[in-house]
Amino acid sequence: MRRCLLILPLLLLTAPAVAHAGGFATTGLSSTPDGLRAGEPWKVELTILQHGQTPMSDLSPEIVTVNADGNRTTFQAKPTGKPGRYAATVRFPKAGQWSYVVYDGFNNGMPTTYPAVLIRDTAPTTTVRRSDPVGPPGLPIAVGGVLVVGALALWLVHRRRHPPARLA
Amino acid sequence: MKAVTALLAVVALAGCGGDDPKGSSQPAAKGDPGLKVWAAQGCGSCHAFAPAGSTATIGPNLSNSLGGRSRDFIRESIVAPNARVGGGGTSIMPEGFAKKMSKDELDALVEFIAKGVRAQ
Repeated sequence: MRRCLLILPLLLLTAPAVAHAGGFATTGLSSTPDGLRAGEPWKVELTILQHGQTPMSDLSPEIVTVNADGNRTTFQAKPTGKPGRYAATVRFPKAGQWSYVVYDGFNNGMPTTYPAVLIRDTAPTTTVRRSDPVGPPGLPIAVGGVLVVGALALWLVHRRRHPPARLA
Repeated sequence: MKAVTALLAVVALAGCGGDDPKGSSQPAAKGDPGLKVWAAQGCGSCHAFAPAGSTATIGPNLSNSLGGRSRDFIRESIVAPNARVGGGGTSIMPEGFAKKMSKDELDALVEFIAKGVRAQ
């Protein structure tokens, strides 16, 4: 009985290591959120492979985003139908620095971490000025009018200086 | 008179200008291609590596195990992880991992790690 009591703590200490022995998986991402703007969807596919080789199905992976204030949001990844492939759509609602972590649903005690990303502000509304294809453009008409009047004046001056010969 | 006509033509053409390019959005900044390969291959699920923001402890911390090594050594560690395992053991990193990458991807990954560990 004493021997059992001595062994029990040892078993409890080694249990986690035994549980994870041979139990790791790699999680690959189809893209990273670099360059995203606030509110834009980050559509990403996760490939989860046991020992980096065997596709793992029937998992419930999650992507957790954390902003600079420590606010966490969890996005569930859904199976795509292909073995080991899961899809998620993640949104970073505000501009600023964000970190994100992937829990593979197999060994959640060791999530895959990535460098923080800088999410840019939402795209500014751009107003592109176009010339009106139907209505008359104002400035060219005005300038043209001035030039026509000037040309007419020049023609009149020229005609006054050099009047056309009158027929007798 | 001819000069006046030419001026009129120039003024008329001035009204047919194109759109103002100002205000168009800038292209998105792109991340390190090696980091994208790192993320795609799931390297961060096993290895700690500060430039990749990775803290995993299944495999060795690359900053320690590859620090100061050559690019060729780094490449070999990816392509043939069992090539230089000491003590007669075997690496848990799967052989053939590099076969899932194109040559360009492998090059980008090696460069990314080399820069991170200040390879020789």
